[in-house]
Amino acid sequence: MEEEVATLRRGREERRRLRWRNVLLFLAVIGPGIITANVDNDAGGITTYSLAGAQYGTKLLWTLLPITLALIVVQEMSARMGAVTGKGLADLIRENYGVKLTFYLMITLLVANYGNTVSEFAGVAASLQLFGVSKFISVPLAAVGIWALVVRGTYRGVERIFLAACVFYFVYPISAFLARPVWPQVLRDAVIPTRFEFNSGYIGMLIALVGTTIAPWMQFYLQSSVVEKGIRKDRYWISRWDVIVGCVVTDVVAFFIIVACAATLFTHGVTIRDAADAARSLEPLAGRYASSLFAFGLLNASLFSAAILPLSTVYYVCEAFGWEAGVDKKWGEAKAFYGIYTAMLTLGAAVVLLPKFPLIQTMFVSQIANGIALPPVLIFMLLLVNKKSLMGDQVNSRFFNAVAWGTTAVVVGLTLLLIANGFGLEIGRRVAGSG
Amino acid sequence: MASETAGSRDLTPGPAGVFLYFSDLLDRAIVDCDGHSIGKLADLSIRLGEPYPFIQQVFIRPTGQSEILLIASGNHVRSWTADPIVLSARLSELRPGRRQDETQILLKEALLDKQVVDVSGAKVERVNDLSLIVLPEGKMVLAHIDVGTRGLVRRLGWEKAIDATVRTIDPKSRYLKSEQLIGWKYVVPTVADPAGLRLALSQKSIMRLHPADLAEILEDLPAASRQPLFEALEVSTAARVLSEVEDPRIQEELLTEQSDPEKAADVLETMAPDAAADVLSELPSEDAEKLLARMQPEDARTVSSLMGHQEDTAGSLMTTEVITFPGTITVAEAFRRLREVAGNVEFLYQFYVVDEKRRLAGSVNMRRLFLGKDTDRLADVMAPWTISVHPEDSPSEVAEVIEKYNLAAVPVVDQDRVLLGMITVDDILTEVFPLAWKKKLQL
Repeated sequence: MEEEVATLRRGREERRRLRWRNVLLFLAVIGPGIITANVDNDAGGITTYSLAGAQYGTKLLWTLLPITLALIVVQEMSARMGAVTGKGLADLIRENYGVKLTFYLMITLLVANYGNTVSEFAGVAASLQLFGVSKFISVPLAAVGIWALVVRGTYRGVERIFLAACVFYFVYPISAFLARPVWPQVLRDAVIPTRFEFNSGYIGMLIALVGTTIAPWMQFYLQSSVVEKGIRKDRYWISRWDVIVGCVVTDVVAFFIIVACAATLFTHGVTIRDAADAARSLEPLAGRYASSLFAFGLLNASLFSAAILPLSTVYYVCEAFGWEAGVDKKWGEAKAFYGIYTAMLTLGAAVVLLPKFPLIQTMFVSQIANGIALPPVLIFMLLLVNKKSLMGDQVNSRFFNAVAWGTTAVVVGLTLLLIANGFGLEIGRRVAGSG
Repeated sequence: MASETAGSRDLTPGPAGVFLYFSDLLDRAIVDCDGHSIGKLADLSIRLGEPYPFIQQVFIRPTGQSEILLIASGNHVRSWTADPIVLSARLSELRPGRRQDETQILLKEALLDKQVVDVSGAKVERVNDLSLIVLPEGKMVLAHIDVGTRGLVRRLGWEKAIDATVRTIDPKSRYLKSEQLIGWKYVVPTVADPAGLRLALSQKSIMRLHPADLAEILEDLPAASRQPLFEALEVSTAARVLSEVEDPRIQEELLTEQSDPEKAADVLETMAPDAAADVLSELPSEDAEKLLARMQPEDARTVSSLMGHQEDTAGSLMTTEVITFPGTITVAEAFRRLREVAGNVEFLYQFYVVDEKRRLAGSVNMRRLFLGKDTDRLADVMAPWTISVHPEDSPSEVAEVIEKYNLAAVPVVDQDRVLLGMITVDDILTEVFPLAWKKKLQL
């Protein structure tokens, strides 16, 4: 024990001594957490938070505190596993749990992430419709553009533009303040849980809120980024801050989207049927330009995520099965990689082009799918991060285990409730029909 | 990619016998010679560094136990092909334990589902299964690793269903015959102790791989597996591999995380000074200083002088490893001196004639030397023109000069025409070649 304290103290002294170097190190290490956070607020995220605010006002704000805590814990686990093992999450799952479990997990994730890809293209369609551009033009263009950008390796340069455009999210806090919500009410709802409702709408919304914030694919993406950035044990404590800042930013944005929508849409009883409705939450700030501003933000979020999400999915699927992956490989060398990637983009875009395709609903439902796919990923992560043979002394603390297992249990519980509720309705309907 | 350097893939099964898949053996019940049930097969071990290694030990998980494993010698298996597997020993003769030493690896722990280096294809592969051969006299050897889709499907338990489906659609489908097996002698594991890895490398044809291919393999491996493999390489190979690694982050990691800093310094000394300077200038200055301090003072001076040049100038591209002669010596004398230094110099086609103040007087290449008579003085056979560049010139200017005058290398001189170094055509090629498409899109 004493030794530990001494080591800690020595560590702290060293840190102080290296203060200037730390600043440089921080700039070198920072990034994965912040980027992940911004991709997290994608089309599905903006939609889910907007719907939460429009349908339930500020009543769901309290969920954000526990969700943030869970997000930090889970993301920190991903980053730590990356730094300690030097391997991606799919890699670790395959090496430790064999081919079968990996295969079924990958199928689940492919389906969930296909849903996410569809939702990103729905976001492109919805946002450009506000500018009067038909989805039959915007969606194919976006798909081809992203495909070319990524496959030709020019994506890196464009990433900064996407990231810079994320300042868009600042319009939500401003709009929220200008809308003059009842702040005491907002703050109370942010801390004190409101009454739980036993209906599938409410439960579905809770799952979507968790699923959109703690998305399964993010854990794979973050861990790979940490590994690729060459962040190792000794520099890991910097990465931890990167992750924490990223998580807090994500949820502060979520908070203000909900408040803005609650103060503008909920109070006037507006239900969101399309993007134009959601855009009205920015009217206090932008007036008649609200829809243009919203369209711009949604478009950026959709494109940013559409560039990263399908690609990272393909990367970790290939990683798990040992197929050649990477845009530096030729088509013949990496058939599976390019094939799955191209299929995800084209099929994702094609579905959105179906006549009368429900854009807003898709963006929302894909987030419920995310939530349902989360527990298996969390369970694998927890089993791995607690393996002494992998993590050494960097295994989870009791607190982290409690939070992460708690999150898993809550999401599983909610999913079961949702299913039970769905069945309940079904049975009710049948009974009513037969009677 | 590197089929020429690595040789063709060897698919002929070496010894004749009965094929078994490791995945079929795993978890198979084991009984002793009296027919008593012992447990299930948990793992098998082999010795590293043999082309067809015999199974050394059998690790058995006793029924109802998960922690302790019993070990039987590979020689104590009476029948591998039977189900359950029959031992020739008694249960009471088995002892609990772990792997014997670092010269052995376990098939499940270190190979199955793990990544390995395939030397024959110069690629990183993931092991879907292992194929074993039971020899006529009853012993079993590891023969191949399976990296194919069929292996994957078999592990998933869908082999029959998928085969039947494929056969109905296309009876002649390539899929039905395409076993992607790689002979064990071409496989280097990535999960092994450094000592074991060195042993494995010593027997493999990995030395036949071009350093550029090895560098690409290192870049494709997960970070955790790079270091042990890099450390197992000999200093001279490591030096060439390090200069071929394209990602500066990986170069840094390989150097600074070397368990033996002395070896890192040796690797830097062995590298061409310009390449060493390139690598060091990417490091945080503290780490670079530490490594320089461990190098031979002379090498360290050369390298650190090169590091002083601004990035993307002729100065940063040049090497100081230049062969110079006075104009007064004969061709025969020049040949004698060349033979002396040839072993330490990378680029041996272009030499320069300098005066006593090291000012550039002319250039001589191999062709001119061979065409000259033994008694000719260098001043008479040298090309009298002294085309050169300055340290602050840009890479594209250097490339233009090399292209215009069809040079293999161009000398770098200062304002007083004193020779500082030279830039070779391959160094300038990597600089101006449009690499953008090759850059990995890092997640």
